[in-house]
Amino acid sequence: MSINTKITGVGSYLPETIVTNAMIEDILDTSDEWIIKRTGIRQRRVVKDETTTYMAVEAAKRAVENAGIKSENIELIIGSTISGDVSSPAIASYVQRTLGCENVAAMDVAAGCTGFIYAMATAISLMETLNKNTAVVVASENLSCRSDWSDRSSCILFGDGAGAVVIERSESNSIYHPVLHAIPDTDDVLYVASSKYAHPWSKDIATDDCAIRMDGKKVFAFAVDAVEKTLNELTELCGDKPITKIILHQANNRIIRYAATSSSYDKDQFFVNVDRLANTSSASIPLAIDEAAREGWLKKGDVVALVGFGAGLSYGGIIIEWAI
Amino acid sequence: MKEQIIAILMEQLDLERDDIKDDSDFVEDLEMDSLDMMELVIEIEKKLGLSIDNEKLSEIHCMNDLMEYIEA
Repeated sequence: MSINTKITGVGSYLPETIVTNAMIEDILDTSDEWIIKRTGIRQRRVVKDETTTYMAVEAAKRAVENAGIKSENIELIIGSTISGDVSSPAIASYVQRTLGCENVAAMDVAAGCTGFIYAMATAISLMETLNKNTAVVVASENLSCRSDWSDRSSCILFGDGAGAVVIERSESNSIYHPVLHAIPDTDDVLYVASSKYAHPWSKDIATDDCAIRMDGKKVFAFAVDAVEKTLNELTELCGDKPITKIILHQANNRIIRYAATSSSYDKDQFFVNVDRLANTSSASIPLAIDEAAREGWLKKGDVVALVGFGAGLSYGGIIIEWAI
Repeated sequence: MKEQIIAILMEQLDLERDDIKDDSDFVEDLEMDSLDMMELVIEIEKKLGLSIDNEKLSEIHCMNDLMEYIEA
């Protein structure tokens, strides 16, 4: 028998520095109008002194405070990032260290921009398997440092930030129908390069490239198909309990707009903050949840479909009933 | 079929029927960008059951080109 869980706290961290499209006009041959038309993005937050780890810890702290629990009660931490300060250990381990949780299981999942969905599904599964009562799921991204700022087609898309939720066991179940999928990215349409040394016995060459690389057209085609399939799947799984709100990975407003017009849902049911935060990869969904909750867009009892898509090519979704 | 595709374009780009001529350039005249072209392809494939090779998109500049590709 599966356990009952719910989100009891949510928090986020955004760097203070705002980079507008006009500021990018100063360094690249582009324009505010061009960027808005193609992406819907007007500005993004970028780190100044913050690290991926720092933002993860701050978001997790705020979620824990919002849940009204003590750090020592956390038993499981699942992180997600494509832009960690280090390859190892996990950002979850840094969150554990800073929050001072002694007896936890801590790990990251790597599922690109779908990371938060995979992390949520992993968290509720491990809570059951390991018999844990309280989990933190945190996603943090520093994409401004993974962007090629000479490539005007990609650097305009990304921003930085972190979001986190606290999940606790509850009497009734408010997190359900996780659906996780992946299709092979045979053309390498979306990946983050990784710097490496060469050694004398290898034909590999050293590289310091660590930028996000993507074929925008192919990613768009994949993304709209993934969103449609996942929303249809979640709608069917929910049966006669209608989905009232939808939070998609905030990749590009064109994807959200297309998803809204091609689905049976009204566009007002889709949350949008990509215009102000740009694409923050796996952090975009918890950042959106936090903003939507604070601004009252999410109301108690809302049945919310969270849908992510990204490198892999991974995609998936999960239902949360808003209970705060 | 041509009118069905024009109807897709009208809805997608919020255009009137008269705005779309057979030789209207998708980029220059209709101000379409690469994602608009992908949206058009996806809609054509979904609503009309046709398959369009993305690699050929760079050779399709107007309705005449598109119909020629589909009929071939």
